[in-house]
Amino acid sequence: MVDPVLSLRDLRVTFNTPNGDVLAVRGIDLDVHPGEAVGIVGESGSGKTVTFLATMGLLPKRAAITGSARVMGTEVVRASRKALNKVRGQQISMIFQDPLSALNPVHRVGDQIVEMLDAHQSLTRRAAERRAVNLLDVVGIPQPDQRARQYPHEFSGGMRQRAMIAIAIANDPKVLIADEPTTALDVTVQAQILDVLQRIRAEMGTAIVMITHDLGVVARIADRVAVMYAGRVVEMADVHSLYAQPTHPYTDGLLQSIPRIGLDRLVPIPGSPPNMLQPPPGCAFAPRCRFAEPVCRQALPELIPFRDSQTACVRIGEIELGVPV
Amino acid sequence: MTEPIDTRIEEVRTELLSEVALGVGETPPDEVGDLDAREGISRTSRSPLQLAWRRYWRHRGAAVSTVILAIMLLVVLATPLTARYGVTEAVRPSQNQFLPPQDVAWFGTNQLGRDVYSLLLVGVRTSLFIGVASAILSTVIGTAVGSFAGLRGGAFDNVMMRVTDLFLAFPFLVAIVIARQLLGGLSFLDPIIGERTSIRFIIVLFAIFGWMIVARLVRGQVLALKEREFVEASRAAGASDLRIVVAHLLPNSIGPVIVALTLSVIAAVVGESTLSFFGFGPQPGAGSISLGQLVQGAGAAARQGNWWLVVFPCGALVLLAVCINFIGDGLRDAFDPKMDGGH
Amino acid sequence: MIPILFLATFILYWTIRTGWNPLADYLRANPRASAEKRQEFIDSNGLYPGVGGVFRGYKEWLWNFVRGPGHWPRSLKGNAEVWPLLTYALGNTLRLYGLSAVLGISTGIGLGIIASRRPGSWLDSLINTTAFYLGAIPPFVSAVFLQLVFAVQLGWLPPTGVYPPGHRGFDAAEMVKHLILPVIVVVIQTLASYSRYTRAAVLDVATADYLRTARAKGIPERQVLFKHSVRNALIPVVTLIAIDMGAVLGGLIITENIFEYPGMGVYFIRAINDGDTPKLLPFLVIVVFAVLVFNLIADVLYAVLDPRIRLD
Repeated sequence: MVDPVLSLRDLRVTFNTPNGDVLAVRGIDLDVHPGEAVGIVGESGSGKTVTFLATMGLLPKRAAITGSARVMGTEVVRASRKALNKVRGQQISMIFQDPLSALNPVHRVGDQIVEMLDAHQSLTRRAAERRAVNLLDVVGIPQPDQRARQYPHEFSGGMRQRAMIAIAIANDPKVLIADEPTTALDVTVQAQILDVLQRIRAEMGTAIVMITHDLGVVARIADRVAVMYAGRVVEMADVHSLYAQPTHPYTDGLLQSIPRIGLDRLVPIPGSPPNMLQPPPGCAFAPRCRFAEPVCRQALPELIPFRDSQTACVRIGEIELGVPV
Repeated sequence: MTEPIDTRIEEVRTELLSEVALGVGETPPDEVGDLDAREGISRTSRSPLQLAWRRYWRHRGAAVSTVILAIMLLVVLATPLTARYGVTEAVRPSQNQFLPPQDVAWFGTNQLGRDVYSLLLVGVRTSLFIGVASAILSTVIGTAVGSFAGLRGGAFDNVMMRVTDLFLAFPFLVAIVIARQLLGGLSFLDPIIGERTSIRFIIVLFAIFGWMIVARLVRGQVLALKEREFVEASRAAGASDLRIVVAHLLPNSIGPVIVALTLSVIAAVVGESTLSFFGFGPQPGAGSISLGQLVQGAGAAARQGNWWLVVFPCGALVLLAVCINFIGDGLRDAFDPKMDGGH
Repeated sequence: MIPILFLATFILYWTIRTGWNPLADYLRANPRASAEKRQEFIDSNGLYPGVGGVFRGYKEWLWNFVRGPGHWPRSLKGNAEVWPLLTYALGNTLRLYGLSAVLGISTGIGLGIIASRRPGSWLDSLINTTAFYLGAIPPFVSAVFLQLVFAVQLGWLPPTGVYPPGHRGFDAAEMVKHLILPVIVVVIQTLASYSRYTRAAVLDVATADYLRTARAKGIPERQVLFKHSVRNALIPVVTLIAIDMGAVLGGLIITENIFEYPGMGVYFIRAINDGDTPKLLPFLVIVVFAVLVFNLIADVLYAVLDPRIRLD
């Protein structure tokens, strides 16, 4: 069994705010294996982004992080900045949602790629510039040598995201975290970006962690999916099983709220996400779940295997999912 | 010159100078706010003005300064009661020029034997009057011009920006002195604005320079707000320009305008003192005196060793300056657009 | 640009004509001038009466002005050539400002960056509060105070002037001694404002996403600070420096006058008090020109530093 490239164990993130402690992430266990694509699905507030910002060491100091996050075996939680900088940009990279604001507007695109290369490799200036142009080509940007000398505002939205990907893969990382990379883009461009990511995964063997709220995106790119709710993983399954046979009422609710041809009604999940200052006891989804029973509120449910998936629903054996409401 | 450069620089400069020069206790950016963890927190409903009021009083410097200023105002406004002597009255017994502070004259006496304490009260009152009057005048003119320019845009806007740009880049004192000379020389204006040495004149003079800063500020606010949906909605409902400005844009711009107003007051007070220092200040005539006149003698008095003629007037000026600056700061924090969740 | 210059100089000329009565001032300065001298003065200064006279006077003045300093009208007081007086004053002011700017701006920006690193910390509060109080004190108060304490009472430093009275020639040490107090006054002002500008500018940039991207690259934090944070934040600050420079040519009036330091500020006040219009006009032209030029420089600088603002 090959070691995972990314390994999270009981990762917890708490924010200290004037209003109290916000429990954004409440115990995540996750392994990402070499070359695999894992989708992380959840709403705003589920903690999906925070989890991986913590992994990259990009959270502010007042975020308290406990647990373990290992990148290629190196522990990054509470690691020194020096140790962190060795790992990020090299073994693990991240791309973000809005590529316009994520790129420095006063530096040329090519230079921003070179900066990434310089941080972890010792290339001559010439070699680095050539490699930068090369990377732009890899991500499918036409006329890469001209484009490298341009500034971010001269690129279109899709091209900017490609440029971000180019930066992220510059040092051949083992895992690339993509935080809602397509949300700010047009649908047609979305597909292109996903294609680029697929290609990178195929050609470079990079594992991809795709954070998204869009089930369509997940279906396209992921091998495995982790569904997050209120700071915890509530279901973990391979992508086919997830769609065909969800094993958690929340996933079921998500699937039922997707517009599909032939469906008469959209059924949204009633209620709203919980207040993470004081999350509900036991299963956080219970207040909104039509299958909830007192047993659900007793303890924080752990992931248990069920059929081909893992689920945090203690009542999974007793309930029937997939039936329209 | 290119349009985009000008607008961008001007935006940045106005933002930087006005917003920035005021911000002492700036709170660090709220990053948790970026992350998705705030839903469901209940809040009792409060109007933005009420929120601003609460935030203002949390600013320690502003709170203390407001109290100090309030006390000062009470004392100087009640001068018939609080002053110990008249402005032209010599402290009895006579032959008492240059008395150091003692129980007959708390702050000592000047070269004419007059009580510095009483003079100071009247002086502060006069100068504050000048400051407040010119600030209000500047704000009214500036708001009108700025909101119109921001809303309409076009040639008027361009010209206004260009002109104010250059005026504001000009060395302030040079401009004021020259303008003073010029305005005083236009005899047909005398009935409206008075002689060069009158209080009316200096109020108008400061207003002429002050309105430009306010106009740019308001224009910036209007430009930012103009794109917001509630303005579009209002237009779609058929509101006229004037209505949009008065009912929508101005109430939302009130923060920076109030801050600018506050700082205009102190700028005018310090300006008046500076002008008086060089002999270009107002001479309020018998029965009154300005703070600037009191400060004017400070330089020479210092060299002669009459420290009370320096310390008390300058001290009053500095105290005023610091207090009003703090208040402006507190107001800025109170209305801080960044915390309003603006963007 | 050129039409603006014409307009500006015309306005200046008209302002001087309207605000002062050069003829009366001349007569006051030279009460026993003969009728010929008086007419010569009127002609050489273009003081033709009436509205048409103003335009005619302006044309003449402008023509003399561009022909060079040798053709400029002489000062009313002392009938001296204006150009040498101007250059002397300008040199002094530039020396004073140059030294103060280098010290004040660099220190101010440095402190501003340091303060912005840990907003809300004690260091930040210290820097901010100091800048605040320093900035709130009106400059002539601090100037008088420093002069009083260090020059008059303690006698450590000379109270006025560039050189001690009666001194001849060049002496660097004396010059520096005389510059210390005025420089301190100006540095107080610049330090206070630039540290606050910079701090706010950096904090403004601190929430930008590209900083997060930079950190995600694994580059050293110092590089994130300088190549990204400061590089972007300083753009508006740099343009402000350019604009400030434009304004300074009018002299650091308060400081120079209190310390009787013979720069543009003293030149200006003296000319105003004497009503010496031949000295004033060239001064104002230089100042206006400097303002226009430095504004232009600021615009260009901004475009150079921020590629989003380039001419397309």
